[in-house]
Amino acid sequence: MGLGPAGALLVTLAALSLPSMVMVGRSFPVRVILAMAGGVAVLGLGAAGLLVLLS
Amino acid sequence: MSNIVPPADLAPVGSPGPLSSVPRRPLLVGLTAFAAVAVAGLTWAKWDPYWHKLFHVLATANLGTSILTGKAKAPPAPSWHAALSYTIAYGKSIWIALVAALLIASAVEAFLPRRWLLAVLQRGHSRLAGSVAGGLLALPCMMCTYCTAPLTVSIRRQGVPTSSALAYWVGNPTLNPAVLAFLAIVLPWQWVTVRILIGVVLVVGVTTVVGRLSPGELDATASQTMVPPVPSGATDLDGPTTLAGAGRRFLVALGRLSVTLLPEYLVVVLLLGGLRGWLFPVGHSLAGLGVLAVLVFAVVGTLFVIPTAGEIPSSRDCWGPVWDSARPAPCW
Repeated sequence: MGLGPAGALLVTLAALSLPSMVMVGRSFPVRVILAMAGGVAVLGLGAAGLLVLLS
Repeated sequence: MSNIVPPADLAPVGSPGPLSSVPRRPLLVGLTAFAAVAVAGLTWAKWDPYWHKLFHVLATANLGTSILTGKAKAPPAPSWHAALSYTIAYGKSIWIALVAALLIASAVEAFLPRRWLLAVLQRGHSRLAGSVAGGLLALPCMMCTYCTAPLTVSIRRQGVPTSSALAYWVGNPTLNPAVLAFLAIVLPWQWVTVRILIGVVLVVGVTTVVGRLSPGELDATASQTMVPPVPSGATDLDGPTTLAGAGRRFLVALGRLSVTLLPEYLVVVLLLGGLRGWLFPVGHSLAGLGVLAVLVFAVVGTLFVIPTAGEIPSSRDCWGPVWDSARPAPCW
């Protein structure tokens, strides 16, 4: 399995979730929520790379 | 009966101004009431339990098994039982924090003078400063991704700008000091380092940039008279001026937050919990996928819901030792 997927989960599992996005969905424009989700997923990739790099 | 001025009549203001013309007593009473609810709620739900858990983790260096798999080696295949068992496990894990979050969120709307909230979270015209403020405020709250939601909804209702509110929303679970401490104790140094570095980029950097997608807020080109739009549900800048008004507002907010919370919780958590066997493909099916596995987990992780610190055993187990060996789940 390896460190890559672990690194991705380390950040993305915690940061956001579908229920939370639905709950705050009316408080922000939809594009803001989607951009945050995209940002978290991309940073998850970054975390995977960084964890592998450092280990 | 109530002396509260409806928000629609409120004259627009820039950053909250000086308090000299405002009667101080209602402000102070409101602030004290809010602080009491917040401190009591956070102590009960977060500070006290984590203080004890810290000593436990220091002594045993063990965070237990992943909520995704329980005692098994892999998440269960999709089924109604998988859905129900996850929903119950997750619910048991978060219900105290959820109750605290609902009470504090209602207190934000009912007791905390909006002027003070904005003074903390709206830093002039700077989105970056707002994000930093939101992130810092998130640190003592330590809520998981789901329990953060009612608090975020409440501060947005009160007109907190997008970047600050987003930073508070993701900062709670991502930069939770207790989780960072557990990570540092239980796993190699690289894990907590990655979490902090990526976490700061997310909470401060990404939220500042994404905040630009909310038009009309904090325009740098605006003159002093340009204001963020006041949400229609926001309270008077100086908080409620009668006890009855505050109490009524508290109950209304609590009712509204609870009603929107529970049905959605049940449906989405049941769905995610039931499908976790598909969402987290482990072992042989993923072994050959390499980088694609990282992508899958990045997307699934973004969507999936986990209690505070639940990501530690889950990502640690993903690392391999549990599923590759015949030994029981490791006690680090």
